[in-house]
Amino acid sequence: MNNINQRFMNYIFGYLTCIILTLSAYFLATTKSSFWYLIWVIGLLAIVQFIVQVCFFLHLSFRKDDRARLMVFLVMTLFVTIIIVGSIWIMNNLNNRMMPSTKSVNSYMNSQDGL
Amino acid sequence: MMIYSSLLGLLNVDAFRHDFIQNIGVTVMSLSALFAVLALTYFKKWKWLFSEWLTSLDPKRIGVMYIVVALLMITKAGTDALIMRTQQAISVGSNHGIVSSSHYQQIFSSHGTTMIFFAAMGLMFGLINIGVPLLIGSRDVAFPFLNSVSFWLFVAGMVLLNTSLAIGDFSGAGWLAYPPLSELQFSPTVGVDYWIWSLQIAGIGSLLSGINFIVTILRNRAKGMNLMKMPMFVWSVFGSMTLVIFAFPILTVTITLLYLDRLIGTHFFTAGGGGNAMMYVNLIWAWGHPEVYILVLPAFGIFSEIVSTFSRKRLFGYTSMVWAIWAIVILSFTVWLHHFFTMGAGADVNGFFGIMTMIIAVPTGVKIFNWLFTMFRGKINFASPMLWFIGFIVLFSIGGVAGVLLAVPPADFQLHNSLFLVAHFHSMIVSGVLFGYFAGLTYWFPKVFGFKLNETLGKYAAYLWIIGFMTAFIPLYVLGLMGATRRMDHYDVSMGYQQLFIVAGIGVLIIGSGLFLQIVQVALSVIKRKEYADRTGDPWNGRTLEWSIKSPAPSYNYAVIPEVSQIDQFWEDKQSDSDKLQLKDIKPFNMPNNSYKGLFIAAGSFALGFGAVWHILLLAIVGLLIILITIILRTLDENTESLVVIDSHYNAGLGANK
Amino acid sequence: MSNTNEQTTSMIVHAEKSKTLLGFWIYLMTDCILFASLFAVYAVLHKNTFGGPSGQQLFSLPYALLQTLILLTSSLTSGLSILSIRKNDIKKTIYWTIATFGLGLSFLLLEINEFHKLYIEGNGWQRSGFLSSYFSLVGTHGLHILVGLIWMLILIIFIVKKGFTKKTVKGFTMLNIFWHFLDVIWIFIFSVVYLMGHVGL
Repeated sequence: MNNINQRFMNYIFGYLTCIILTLSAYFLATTKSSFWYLIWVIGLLAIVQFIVQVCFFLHLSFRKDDRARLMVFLVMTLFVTIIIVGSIWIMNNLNNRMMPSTKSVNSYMNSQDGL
Repeated sequence: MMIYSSLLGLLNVDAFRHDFIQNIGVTVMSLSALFAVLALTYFKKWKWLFSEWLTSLDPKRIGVMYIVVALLMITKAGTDALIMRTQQAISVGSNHGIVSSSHYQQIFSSHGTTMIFFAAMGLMFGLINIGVPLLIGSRDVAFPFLNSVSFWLFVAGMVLLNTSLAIGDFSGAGWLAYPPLSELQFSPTVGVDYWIWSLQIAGIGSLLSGINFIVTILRNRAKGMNLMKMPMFVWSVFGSMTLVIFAFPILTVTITLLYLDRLIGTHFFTAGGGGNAMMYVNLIWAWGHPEVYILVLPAFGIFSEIVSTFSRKRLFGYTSMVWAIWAIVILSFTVWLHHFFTMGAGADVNGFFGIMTMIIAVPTGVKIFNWLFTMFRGKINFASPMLWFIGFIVLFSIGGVAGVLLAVPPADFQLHNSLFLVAHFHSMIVSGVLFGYFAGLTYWFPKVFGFKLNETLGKYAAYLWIIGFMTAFIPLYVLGLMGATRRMDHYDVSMGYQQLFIVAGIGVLIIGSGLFLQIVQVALSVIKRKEYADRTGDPWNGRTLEWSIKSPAPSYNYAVIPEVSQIDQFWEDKQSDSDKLQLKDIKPFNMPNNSYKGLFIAAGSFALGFGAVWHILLLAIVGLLIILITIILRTLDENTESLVVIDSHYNAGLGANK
Repeated sequence: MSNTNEQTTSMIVHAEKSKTLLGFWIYLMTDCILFASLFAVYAVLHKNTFGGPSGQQLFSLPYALLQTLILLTSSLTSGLSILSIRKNDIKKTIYWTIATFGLGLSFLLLEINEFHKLYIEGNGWQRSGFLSSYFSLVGTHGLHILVGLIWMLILIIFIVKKGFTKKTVKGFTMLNIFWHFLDVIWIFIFSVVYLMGHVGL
C-alpha cells in the first residue's frame, strides 16, 4: 500500500514539475531576450524535465534492481551526446568549408526558371 | 511523388534481361536451389528439415543455419572477387575485360555488401548462437523466439539481395551507397532500393539479436558465474552486442532517409533542394565504424578461447582484456570521421579524429600482447585453430600498422580510396574476422555435430588462405602506393599496374582453393564421421563449460546447470578430478517449442521489401500485415514451452538423447 | 479468475524485474539512438530552407504547447493505469487506459492536422531539406504514437477478456514505459523544434 502511495506521489510531483518546466520554457520563448540566452535556458529546462521524467515516470534509480537499466541508459546518453554533438561539429565545419555560400545559392536559384 | 501503382509496380520484362555473366550467376543459383529441393524430395527429408531445423528455436541449430547461409554467401561474394580480379588483371588498354563498366560497379557493390552483412555477420551470429549459451552454462538465450525471428529476417534480407541478380539489377554505388550517386537522379534503377531494403530487413534482425544476447549475458548465466568469471568470448560478445544496439539504429535512420529521398522526393541528401550529401557520409560512417568492431570483437573472443586452450594455459591478463574490450567499445564511437578525412573538414576536426584513431589501436595492441603472453611458456598444440591464429597475428598486425598510417590525415589524403586502403581493410576483416570465425568453426564443430573435422585438410586450408591472402593483397598495398584507385574496371598500360594485378589474381585463386578444401573438409568429415567421432565431449582438452557435456550437445545443453566459482571452472574441475554431476540434481525443466512463425515473419518481410523495391503497394501492405498479424498471434500463443524430463539412464558427463 | 491486491502488485513487481522488461528497456534505448540520429539530421538541415519558410514562420507555439500538455497528461494517466493494476481495480485500469488513448489520439489528430495544413500550403516534405527533416523527426514520433495507440486497443481487449494475468500485466507494464518514453522524446521535439525554432535557431 505504501508503495502505491509513494508511486502516486511520484507521478503527481513529476507531472506538476513538468507542467511548470514546460510553461516556463514556453513563456520564456515568447519573450525577447538574447538569442543564446534563450537557447541555453530552454535547453537546460528540457534537460531538467528529461531527468524528472526519467526519475519519476520511468522510475530509474540507483537501486541494485535498476542497475542494468541504469547502465544501459547512461551509455545511451553518452553515445547520443557523441552522435549529436559530433555530427553538429563535423557538419558545421564541413558546411563552412565546403558548401556554396547563400549568395551563390540565391544567385543560382534566381538564374533558374521556375524556382 | 508516390509512384506506387497496380499489381506490378515498376516490374516489367526488362527486369529479367541480363548479361552473360549475370545469366550464369542466376542459372547457378537457380540450379542449386532446384537441386536442394529435388534432393529433399527424393530423400523424403522435408518433414525433417522443417521440424529439426527451420522451426527449431535451439540456438545451436539456428547458429548452424546462420553459418550455412554465411558460407553460401562467401562463395557468392568470392565469385564476385574472382570476377573483379580477372577484370583488373586483363582489362588494360584496348582490352575491356569480361564485364561492362556498369556491371563492374554492381559487382564490387554486391561483393562488399554481401561479405559484410551476410557472410561476416552470418558467421558471427552463428558462432554467437552456438557459443554464448553453452559458455555461460545456460540452456538457451533470453528470448528464443526472437532469436528465430532474427535469423529469418537475416534470411529474408539475403534472399532479397540475391533476387536482385535475377530480377532487376543491383546498386552500383558501392557497399555504402553514397549520395548523390545513390539518389534517384543518378541511380534511376531499383538497384539501390534492393540494397536499402535487404539491409533494412537484415539490420532489424541484427538489432533484435543485440538485445537478445545482452539480456542473455546479463540474466542467463549459471549460478556463481559473476561477470568477471565469464569466458572472454562472452565478454567480447557483450561488447559487440552493445555496439550493435547503439550503432544499428543510425543505419536504420540513414538508409530510410535515402529511401525517402528516392521515393517521395525529400531533400535529405540530394544535391539541391537544401539537402546535404555530406550528412549521409557522416551518419553512415557513424554506424559503419562501430560495425567493423562489431564484427571483429567476437573473433577476438574466439581467439582468446583458442589461444588459452591450445597453449594449455590460462588467458593472460583477464582484467586488462575486459578493459580493452570496453575501451574499444567506447572509442569505436569516436573515430568515424577517419573514413572521410578527404571530404574537406578542417585540421582541427581531422586532427581530433586522427588522434582518436591512433588511440583505439592501443587496446587492440593490449589484446595482441596478452595472447602472445598466454602462449609464452605454454604447451602449444598447433592444431588448425592455432594456425588460423598465427596467420591472424601476422596479417592483422601488418594491416593494423597500415591503418595507423592511414590515421594520419595528410597521409590519408594520398591513400584514401586507393588500393592501399582496400588492402588495409581486407587485412583486418579477412585475418581478423574471417580467420577468427574459421578457427571458431573448427573449434566448436565437434560440440555441435559430435565429430571433429579432418585436421589435415583444415591445416592445408589455413595455409592456402594465409599464403593466398598475402599473394592477393600485398600487391594491392604496393599498387595503392603507386597511386592506383579502388573500384577501377579499366586502366591504361602506361600505369604499370598489370603485373601486380596478375599476381593478385593468382592470390585469389589460391584463396579459392583454400575455400574449396574447406568444403571438401566438411564433406569428407561427414562421410567419415564415425571415425572422427568425439566420444568424450572434450576433444581439445578444453577449459570452458561446454566441454563438460557430451558431443553432440543435447538441445537443452545442460541437464543440470553447472555451479561455477571461478574462471575456467571446467578446467579446474578436471585438475582436481572432482565429480560434479549427481543424478538427484536433475530436475525437469521447460524448453521452448518449435515455431514456424519466424518463417512467416521472414516471408512477410520479403514481400514488404520486394514491394518497396518495385513500388508494388499492395504487396508491401500484404507483407506488413503478415508481419503484424504473426506477431499478434505469437503473443496470443499459450503453448510455447514443453517440460523436459531426463530419464534415469543419464550418466554423468554424457547426456541422455532427447 | 479473481486476484488480490498482493497478487496483482506482485505481478507488476515480477513484470518489472523480468527479462522481457529489461529487453524492452534496451529496445527503448535503441529507439533513443534512432531519434538522436533524426535530431542530428534536423540540427544539420534545419537552416536549409531553400528559399522557403523557416520554422519560425511556420510553427504556431500555442498549438505546440497544447500538444505538449495533452501528451504530458496522457503520460500521467498511463502511470495511473498501472497504479490501478496494483490496486487490483480492473475498471479503473481500463478507464485510465482509455483516457490515455483519448489524449494520445487528440495529440495525433492535432499533429496530422498541422502536417496537412503544411502540405496543402505547399510546405510538404519535398519543399526543402529543413521540411524533410522536420517531417521525418516529428513524423517518426507520430508513428510511434500510432503504434502505441493500436497497442493500447489490443491490450484493452486482452484485459477485458482475460483479466489480470501475468501476461496482460506484463503487456501493460511495457506499454506504460513505452508511452512515458514517447513523452520524453517529445520534450526535446517541443524544445528544439518549436521553442528554439520560434526563438530563431
